[in-house]
Amino acid sequence: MKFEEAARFGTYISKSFAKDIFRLLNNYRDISASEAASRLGLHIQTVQDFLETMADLGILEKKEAVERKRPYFRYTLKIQKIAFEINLAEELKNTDDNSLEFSKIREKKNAGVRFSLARNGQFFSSVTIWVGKGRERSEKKISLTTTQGIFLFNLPFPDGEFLSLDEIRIKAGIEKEQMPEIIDLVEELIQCKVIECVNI
Amino acid sequence: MTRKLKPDRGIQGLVPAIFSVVLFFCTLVIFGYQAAFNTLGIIILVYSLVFGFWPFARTGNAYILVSAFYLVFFGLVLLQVDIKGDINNPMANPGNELKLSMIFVYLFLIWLIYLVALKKLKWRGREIMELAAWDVEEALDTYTERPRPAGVVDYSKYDIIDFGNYLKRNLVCMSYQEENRVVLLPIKMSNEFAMLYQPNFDYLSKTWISFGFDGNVSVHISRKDYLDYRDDLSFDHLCESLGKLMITFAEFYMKGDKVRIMDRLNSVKLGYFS
Repeated sequence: MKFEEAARFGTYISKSFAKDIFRLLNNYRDISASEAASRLGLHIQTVQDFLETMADLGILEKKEAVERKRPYFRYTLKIQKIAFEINLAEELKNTDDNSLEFSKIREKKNAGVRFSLARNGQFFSSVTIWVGKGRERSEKKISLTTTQGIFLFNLPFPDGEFLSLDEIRIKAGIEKEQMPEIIDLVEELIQCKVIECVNI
Repeated sequence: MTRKLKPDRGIQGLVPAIFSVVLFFCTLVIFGYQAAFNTLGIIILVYSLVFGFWPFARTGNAYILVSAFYLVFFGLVLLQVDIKGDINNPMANPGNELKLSMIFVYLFLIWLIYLVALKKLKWRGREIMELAAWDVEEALDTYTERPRPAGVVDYSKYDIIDFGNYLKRNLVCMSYQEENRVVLLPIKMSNEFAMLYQPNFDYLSKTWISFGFDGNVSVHISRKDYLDYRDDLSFDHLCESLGKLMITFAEFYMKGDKVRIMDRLNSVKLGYFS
């Protein structure tokens, strides 16, 4: 299951009435939103949203019915077992690792960012960036891990030579295993226009 | 050599002298000669503490004591001056103590002039910043507030501390020892007052070069010092150059060629008071 789908499923399955609706779906061959709502004493829109979401996730099957009045949907339980599994390693990896792997970076000119040194003066402990415009402008402070602080300390200056992430990593003496957190930070700082990057 | 720094036109160094002269004449007009000389004498004795003994305690530069003792004897002379007569017809009456004090004043004054000529009492921050910018090209919008790693040295903790103390004693840099590094601040003439007298002086917001006990050298140049250059210089190159200069000074010191540090600084040929 995709992370976003799981999040949607989790939201609805945690509702107090979720089990009652599933019980109805299990007992009835098919059921409409209005029938379920009147049976459980819920608002029809609440039940409609629940059934629609479950149908979207492939748990229910919905069929259009036309009887006397305007068309409506009837829902049938499609599966008897729901497997809820998220592959975190796959889902949570950085969005576009490869694009940064083939890029070189350095600090952007006039980035207007403030770097705070850690107590030992050998790396940064936080970065403070101004985000937004006009009255919406606010200060965004990013607290850094030690690895991220060391990496940023070795980031080329605005007029320095562009370096790849790997070159900076070696210069800073950072292990390759720690690169995901570096990539996460670099992506964020590229978005905040603190770092500029060029493709190799 | 074309100067990279803007000319120094600061008058901060003259403020105590101007203040003394103004106070002298105000006292003279109100209370007469005797009071004016005595007031000036007290002021000069205070100056000897503030501008003589205190900087000596902070830096360890023994030459500053010459200036301090000059001020002490000059102050004593002014306190011993015994003027008879009125404001229109003053007559000095020198005693033996006054004559002895005058001899010391002249001795220390001559010694002081000699030391000034040798630049022994000059803060060398300006020379350092000139040397660092020597071959740095122009580049627009390159300033950033963050420090830059400038290299690695292989010296022991105590070598680094000794090096910092040597630079401090010779007024090349002020040194601050931290838990795991020594931070060196090149101080320009007239900028020493904040460092010497300001409580909670934030030295990390100034230009500094740090020598970590693990050997890492980092450089930070303050915006004020960067804007003190006539042109927008390539900031990356400037920081690298400043780091290399200080690493070279460290090498000279460790090899025992301390005189080369002063030779290099004197090669800039700046004025005695800038």
